[in-house]
Amino acid sequence: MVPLFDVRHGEGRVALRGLAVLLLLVITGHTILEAARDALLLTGPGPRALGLVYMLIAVCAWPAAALAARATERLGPRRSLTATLGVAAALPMLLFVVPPSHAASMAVYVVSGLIGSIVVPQFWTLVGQVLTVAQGRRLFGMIAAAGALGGVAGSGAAAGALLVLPVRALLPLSSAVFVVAVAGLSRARTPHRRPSPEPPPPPATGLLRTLSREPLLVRIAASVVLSMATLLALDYCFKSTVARTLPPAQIGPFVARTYLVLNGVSLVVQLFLASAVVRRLGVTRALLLTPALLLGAAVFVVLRGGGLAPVLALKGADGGLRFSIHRITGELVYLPVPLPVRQRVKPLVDGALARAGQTVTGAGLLALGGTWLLSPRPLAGLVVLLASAWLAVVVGIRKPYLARLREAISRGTLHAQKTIAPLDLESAQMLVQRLGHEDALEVIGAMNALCRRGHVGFVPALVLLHGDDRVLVRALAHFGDSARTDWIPLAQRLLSDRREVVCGAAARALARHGSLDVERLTSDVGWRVRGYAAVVLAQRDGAEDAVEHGAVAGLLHEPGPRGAEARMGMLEAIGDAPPAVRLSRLLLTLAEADAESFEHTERVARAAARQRDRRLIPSLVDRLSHAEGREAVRAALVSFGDEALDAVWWALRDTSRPRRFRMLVPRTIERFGSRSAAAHLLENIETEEDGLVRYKSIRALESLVASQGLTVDRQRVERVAQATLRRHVRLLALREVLDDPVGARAAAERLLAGLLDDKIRQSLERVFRLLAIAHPREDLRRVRIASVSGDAFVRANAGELLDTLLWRSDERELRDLLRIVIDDLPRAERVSRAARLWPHAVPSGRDKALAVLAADADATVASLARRCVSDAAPPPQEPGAPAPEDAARA
Amino acid sequence: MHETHHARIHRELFLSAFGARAGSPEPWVIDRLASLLEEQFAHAGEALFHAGDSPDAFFLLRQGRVELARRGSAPWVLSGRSAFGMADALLDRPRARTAVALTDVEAMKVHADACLELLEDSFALARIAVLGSMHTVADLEELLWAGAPPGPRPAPAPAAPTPLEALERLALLAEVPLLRGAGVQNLSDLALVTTVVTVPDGGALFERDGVGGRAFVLVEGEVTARRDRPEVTWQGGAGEIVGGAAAFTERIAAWEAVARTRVRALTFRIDDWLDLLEAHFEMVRFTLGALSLRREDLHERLTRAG
Repeated sequence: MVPLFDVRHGEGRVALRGLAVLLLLVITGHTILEAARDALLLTGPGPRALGLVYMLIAVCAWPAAALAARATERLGPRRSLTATLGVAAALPMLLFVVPPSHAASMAVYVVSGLIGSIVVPQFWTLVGQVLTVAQGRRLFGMIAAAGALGGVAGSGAAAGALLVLPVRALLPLSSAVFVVAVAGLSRARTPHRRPSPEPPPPPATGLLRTLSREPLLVRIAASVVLSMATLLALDYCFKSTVARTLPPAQIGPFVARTYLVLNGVSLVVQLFLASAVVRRLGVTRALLLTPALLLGAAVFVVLRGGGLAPVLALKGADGGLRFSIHRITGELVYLPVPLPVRQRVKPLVDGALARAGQTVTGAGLLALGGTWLLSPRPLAGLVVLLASAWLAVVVGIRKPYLARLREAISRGTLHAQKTIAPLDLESAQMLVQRLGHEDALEVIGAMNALCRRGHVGFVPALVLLHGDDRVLVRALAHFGDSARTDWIPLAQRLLSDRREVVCGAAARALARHGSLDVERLTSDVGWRVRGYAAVVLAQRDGAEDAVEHGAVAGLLHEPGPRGAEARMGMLEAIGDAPPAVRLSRLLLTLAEADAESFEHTERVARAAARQRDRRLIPSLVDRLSHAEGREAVRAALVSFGDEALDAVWWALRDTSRPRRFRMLVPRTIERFGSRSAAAHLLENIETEEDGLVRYKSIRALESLVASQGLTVDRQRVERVAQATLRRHVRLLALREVLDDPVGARAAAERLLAGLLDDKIRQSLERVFRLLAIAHPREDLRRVRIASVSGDAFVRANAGELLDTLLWRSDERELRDLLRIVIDDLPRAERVSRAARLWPHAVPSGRDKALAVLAADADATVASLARRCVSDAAPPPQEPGAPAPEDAARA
Repeated sequence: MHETHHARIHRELFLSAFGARAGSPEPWVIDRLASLLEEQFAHAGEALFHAGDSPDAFFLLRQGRVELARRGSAPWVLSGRSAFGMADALLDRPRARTAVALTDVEAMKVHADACLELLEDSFALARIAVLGSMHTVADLEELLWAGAPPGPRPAPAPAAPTPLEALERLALLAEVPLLRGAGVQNLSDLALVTTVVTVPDGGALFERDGVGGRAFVLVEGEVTARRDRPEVTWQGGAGEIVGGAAAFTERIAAWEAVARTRVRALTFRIDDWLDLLEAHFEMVRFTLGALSLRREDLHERLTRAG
C-alpha cells in the first residue's frame, strides 16, 4: 500500500508550504470578499439585483479572462498570478474608499465574481507548471484541501470581524489577505523546469481556433460548461426544496449545518480519498465519478418524487465531490496539454466559459420562474439531463487524453515510410541523367532506384557499354529479371569479355531469358562460366539427370579451386533455371560439396528456393548457424512456407542444439510473417528457459507484429510481462541488499552488482517490448525512452500514459507494479512499495540475498554469488595455530 | 508529395554511394535508412548544432566542409562523404562540440533513436558500422604510434602463474577500455569463449599472416608488435589488446607480436566476439561509443603532436 500522504523528498517545501499556503490565502481572501458582497448586495440593492450582477459578471468575465490569458503568456504563470492578486488587493480597497451606494455594492459583487473566475484558474495553471502529472495525482488533494481550509478560515474570519466591525470593513480585510498572498508569491522562486522537447506552439490565436486544434481541450471545455450547468441546477434544486419543505425560521440553521457537514465531508474526501481514488482508477476513469454519482443521485430524486431526504443525498454527493475529486481530476486532465497552450486557454475555459455556462443556465432557470418546472422533481430531471450530457462528454475523453500524452512524450521523429512512392516525371528524368554519372556507384544507385519502382524500362540498354564491371553486373542482373529483350545483343557481346565476373553475369542474364548460346562462350572463359554453361547444356540436351550429362560430370568432381569455381557456376545455373526434376540430384550433390562460404551458402539457398526442393529444408536450417549468407537461407526457407516453418520451429525447441544457433532462429521465424509464426514465437516466449533465446523471441515477435499488423492474445503477453516485471522487482530487491560493497568483498561483489544492474535494465526493457506486442498501436518504444528521460515532466507523462492504457481489471497488478517501477522514487523505497504488493520479492539481509543468488539459474550470477559468500567466510584455521579469539586474547 | 518523392530518390542515391563505400548492407536497410533521412542545409558560418545541445540526431555529410570545435581543443574539419555527431548519441551525453559549416553544406540528418533501432534490426549494418569504426581508429592509432619511439626493456615478470578461472577472466575483460562497460552479462559470455596462452620471454605471440582471426588481451607481461609499410611499433602490457583496434580487422595480418617478457594472454576468436555483438545489441552500442571516445582522444593527441 502507498502511504496516505505520499509526499516525497523536496516536495514538501514547494507543494505543501508554497502552493497550499498560497491557495489557502487566496480562498481566505476571496471568502471574506464573498461575505462582504452578499451582505452589501442583500442589504443594498436587494436580491432582485442578483440577475443583473450575474449578467455583468458573465459579460466582464470574457475580456478579463482574455487579458489574464495574454498576461500569462507574456509574463508566465507566477508573475501573471502575482499581478492578478495585486489587482484583487487593490480593487476592494478602491471600493472601500468610494462612498457607499447601490452601484458600489453591485461593483463589489462583480469584482468578487471576476476575481474568483480568474485567480483560481491562474493558480492551477501555476501548479501545472510546477508539478508533473504524477506529482499532481499525489498532491492535488492536499493542495485543494488547503483551499477548503481557506474557505473555513475566510468565513470564520468574516464572522469574527463582523462581531466588532461594519460589513464594509471586510473589504480592506480581504485586501490585506491578498496583499500577504502577493508578498509570499513574489518572494517564492518557481522551480526551474527544463524546456520541453515539444515543438514551439503556433502563434497565439483565438480560443475557438486553439480548441479546434486540440480535441482534448474541446472535451474539457464542453465538460466545464456542462458541469457548471449541472451544479447550478442541482444547487437550485436543493435550495428550492429546502425553501418549500422547511419553515423560514429553520432554513438558516439548517443550511448552515448542512454546509458545515458538506465542507467536512469534502475535506475528508480531499485529504484521505481523492488521491487514492485517482491512483486506483486513473485520471480518465476518476473523471467519470462525479457526473456518474450525480446522475445516480438525481435519478433517485426523480424516482422518489422529490422530497428533502433524496435531495439532501444529491447535495451530499455534490458537496463530497465538487471540491475534491471533481476539482482534482479537472486539473489533472489539463496537464498533458502543452504549457503555452494551457496558459492561453485555461483562464478562458475555466473562467469565462464556465461563467457563461452558469449565466445561460441561470437565465434559463429565471425564465422558468413561477412555473411548475421549478419544483424538485422536474429540477432533478434537468439535473439528470445535464449530468447525462456531462457524462457522455467525459466518457469520450480517454482517447484524446491518450493521444495528447503520446504527443507529450514524442519528439516528433520521422516515421519510416513503409512503401516506396511511385515515380514522377521529374524524378525519372533526374535518375536517367544520373545513369551517365562518372561515379559508378551513382550509376548503380540510379539503376536501383528505377528498378525498385518497377521502371527498369528507363534504364537504356546502352548502359551495357559502361566501362565499370560493377555497373555491368548490376545492369545485367536487372535486365535478366525483366521482360525486355533489347539488351540481349549487347549482352551477347559481353560473353567474350575478359573479365570473368562480367562474362558470368552476361551468361546468367541471357540464360534466364533462354538466350544463352553456349557455343558463343570462348574457350578461355573462366571455370565458373564453364560450370554454368554445363548445366545450361544439360538442360538444352534434355538429359534426364543432369549429373549424368557429360559436360556436368566432367566438372563435378574437378579438384581444387577450379572445381570449386565450376561447381559454384553450376549452382548459379540451377538457381536461375525453372524448376526441373533433372536438376534435383545435381543440386543435392552440390549442396554437400565444398567448404562453406558466404557464396556457397547463398547460392545453395537460392537454388533450393528456385527448384522448390523440400529435401534441402533440413540442410538450410542447419546453415542458419553461418553468419555469412544467413539472409539468403532465411529467404529460401520462407519460400517453402509452412513446412519450413515447422522445421525451423522444431529446431528452436531442440535444446540439444547450441545456444548460438537457437538464438538466431526467432528472427528466422519472424521472416515468415504469418499468424502461425506469431503463435510459435509467443509460445516460445511463454515456455523458453534460456533468457537470451527468450529475448530474441520477444524481439522477433515485436518486429513481426509491427511489420505485419498482426495482433496476438493480449492477456497471454501481459501475463509474461507481469512475470518479467516481478523478476525485475526481485532483482531490484537483491541489488538493493548488495549496495556499497566493502573491503575485500569489493571485486566479486562489484561484478555481481554490475551483472544485476544489467539484468535489471534488460528486464525492464523486456517488459516494454512485451507491452508493445500486447498494444501494437501504441509507440511503447517512445514510452520506454521517455520513462528514463532526464526530464521529470516527460517521465511523468510516460507513467500517466501507461496508467491510462492499462485500465482493465486484469491489468491491475501490472499497472500498479509499473507505476512503482517508473515513479521517481529511490530504489529502496521502490523495493519497499513493491514488497507490499508482492511480499515474496524481498529477501531479508545480505546473506539471504547471496544465498538466493548462489542458486540462480544463471551460471555467472550463481558463481559470482558463491565467490562473494566464500570471500566473506573466515579463512580456515591451520592446525596448531591458536583460534583467532585466543590470539586476540594473547 | 512531388517534393517528397524527389527528396526520397535523392536520399536513396546518396545512400547507395555512401553505404556502398562502407560495405554492402541489405537493400531493405537502405530502404529504411532512406525513409529516416531528412535533408539538412546550412550556409557558410551557420551552426548545425551547438556544444551542450541534446544529441537527438547525427549527420551524413554530402557536400561542403564542416568544422567540429570545442573550447580548449583543436578543431576537426570534415569534408567529403563522412558521418559526424553519432558519438554523442551513442554515449548519451550533450554535444561535446559545435558543428559549424565552413562552406555551404548539404547533409542528411538521421534521428539517433531511429538509427539505433535500425542497427539493432540489421546486424549486417551494425557489423559494417563497428568494423568501419575499428578501421578508422586503427588508422589513427598507427599514425600516433608511428611517431613514438619504443620504450626501455621492462623488468622480468613474476614466476608461477596460477590458472585463470572464468571469474578472473571476466574481471580482466571488464578492465579493458574497448570492452569495459559492454555489460557484465555480455562480458561473462565472452569470458567463457576465451583461452589462455603463455609465451616465454622473446617468444612469438603471433606472426605475420598467422594471427588466425583472434584477438589477444594481455594478462601479464609486455609485448612488442610491429608492422611494415608503413613501419609502426606498438608496445603494451597487462590489460591491453595487442595491436589495438587493428586486432579486430583483417589489417592485423600485417603485424607480428613478440613477448618482451614472459607473457600470459587471453585470446578469443573475432568470430565469437562478432557472434556476441549479434546476440547483444548493447555491446554494439557500447563498442561504437567506446570507439568514438577513442577516436576523439586520438584526434586530440595527434593534433597536439602536430
